[in-house]
Amino acid sequence: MKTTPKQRQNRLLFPVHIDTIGRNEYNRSMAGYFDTLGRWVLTRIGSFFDFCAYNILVLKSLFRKRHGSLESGFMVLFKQVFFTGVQALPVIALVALALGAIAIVQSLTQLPRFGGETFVGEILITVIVRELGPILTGFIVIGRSGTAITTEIGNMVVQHEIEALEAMGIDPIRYIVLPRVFGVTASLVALNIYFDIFALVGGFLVSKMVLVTSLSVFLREIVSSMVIADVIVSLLKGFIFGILISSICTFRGFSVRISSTEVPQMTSKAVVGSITALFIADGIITFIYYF
Amino acid sequence: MEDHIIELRDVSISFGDDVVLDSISMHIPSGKLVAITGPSGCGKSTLLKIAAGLMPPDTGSVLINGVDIFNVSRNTLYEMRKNFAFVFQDGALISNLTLYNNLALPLRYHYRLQDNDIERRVLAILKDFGLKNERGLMPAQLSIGQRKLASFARGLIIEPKLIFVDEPVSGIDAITLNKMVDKILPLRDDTGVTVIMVSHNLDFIKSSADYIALIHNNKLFAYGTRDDILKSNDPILQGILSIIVDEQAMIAEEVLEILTGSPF
Repeated sequence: MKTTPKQRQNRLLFPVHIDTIGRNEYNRSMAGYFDTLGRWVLTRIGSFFDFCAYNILVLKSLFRKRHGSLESGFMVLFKQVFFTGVQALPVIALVALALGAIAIVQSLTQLPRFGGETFVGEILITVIVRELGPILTGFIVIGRSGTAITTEIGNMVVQHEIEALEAMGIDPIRYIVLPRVFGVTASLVALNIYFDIFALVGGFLVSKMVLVTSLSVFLREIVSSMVIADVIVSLLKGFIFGILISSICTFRGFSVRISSTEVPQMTSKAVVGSITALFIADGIITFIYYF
Repeated sequence: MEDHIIELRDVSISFGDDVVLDSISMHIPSGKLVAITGPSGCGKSTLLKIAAGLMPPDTGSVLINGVDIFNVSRNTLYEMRKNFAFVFQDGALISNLTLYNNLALPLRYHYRLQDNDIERRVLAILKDFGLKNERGLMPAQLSIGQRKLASFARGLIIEPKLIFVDEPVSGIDAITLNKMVDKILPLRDDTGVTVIMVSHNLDFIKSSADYIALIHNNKLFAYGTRDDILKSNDPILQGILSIIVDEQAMIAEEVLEILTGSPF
């Protein structure tokens, strides 16, 4: 009898005497543990290769001879930029102001104990512009837009809307994925700049209250502490984080197969995957920058 | 010899351990209305999706106008699909677009039309389907029947040569059913469009189909002209047809029970 790929996949990795010892006993045996571990590893590896294949598909779609008008895609892009970039401004401003204020308060209370008051500007730049700014902006975008993207695409899969697009000869990658990748990436870079500005404003307001620092002195301190590499690293992080978040969240949306119960599961996976990817990418960029 | 628009060669597909379709081969003549029918869960809708190129079979091939659709580039497939329409059982309208934008989407995507041309064509077809007043509504605000009609209108707006229709007359009221029938039959009779539909409704099939494909036990049990199938003396074939009629009656009974009161 012919076996399907699913049947082959479901076969045990270690086909020991399962019929003779029984399923429960097998699961508790060493072979059972290895079987479970092997399955877990293979699932992760398979998922990673699926993600790579998906990104290749997206890249091929990006560089493929143009198919269909761009107008419909632009509408999706504008909506995405509006949702991710514009509607996130208040929450970004609030978090940035608070972070800038906290960073200054901590610096002003801790640094004098070590005679390091002169490093306040440098710490503000390092903490906010180079490190926390991009990563916190990334987290906010994951929470607001990444989850929305996965949920929306997942529901579209369940309700056969993706199939409907395919049936109409509309490439879902060009119509759904590419505008979201461009929209989220552009928005994240812009929000990053916005975050940095508001965090510095927050820092200035606290300095003004505590030290009665004038704006010109504060700005001079910031500008003298900042090098062009800080800005480039910050923007580069925003750019890479944008691509990672959008590709992971769209991939997870398309990973929904049949049931609407898969949608929250995939959304959760998208959040965890995006946060993990952000930390790994942040670590790699910081490592390259310093070494 | 009749001109064939679609040819299915030895198509098989399984979902996990379940074999859904087993070695199905058939030709679909152009300009005809072909009905695919069979008992519930026999794989009719899956066969329709495979024929439309929306679901690749495990084995076998599908040729549309002589082109193996699972063996061409995505661009070629998308170009080919500009001439097809697929009407889904549940409508499958894009949920974040209004009804108007759902119908305008294929026109905007495939053709460089001016906005006023798109508006003219969309409003004309909406008026024809009695949905003009609903053009600003989102799909969730439409009834099931309206969604089906809208999905059909979206399919027709690109003036296709081939239409795949999944259960066009199931789960809708009599008025919507009449509207749907009024739209499907002239397509074949007046414009020569090939219609392939999946349906449970034997009355509708008897009155409209040119050819009937009967799926049973995952295989193509019988395929021929309407008269060949309906007037056949084969007791098994007649038995399968009666199962379909019984299923239809049971569904109607259940709907009636829901409408007339709770059993609790």
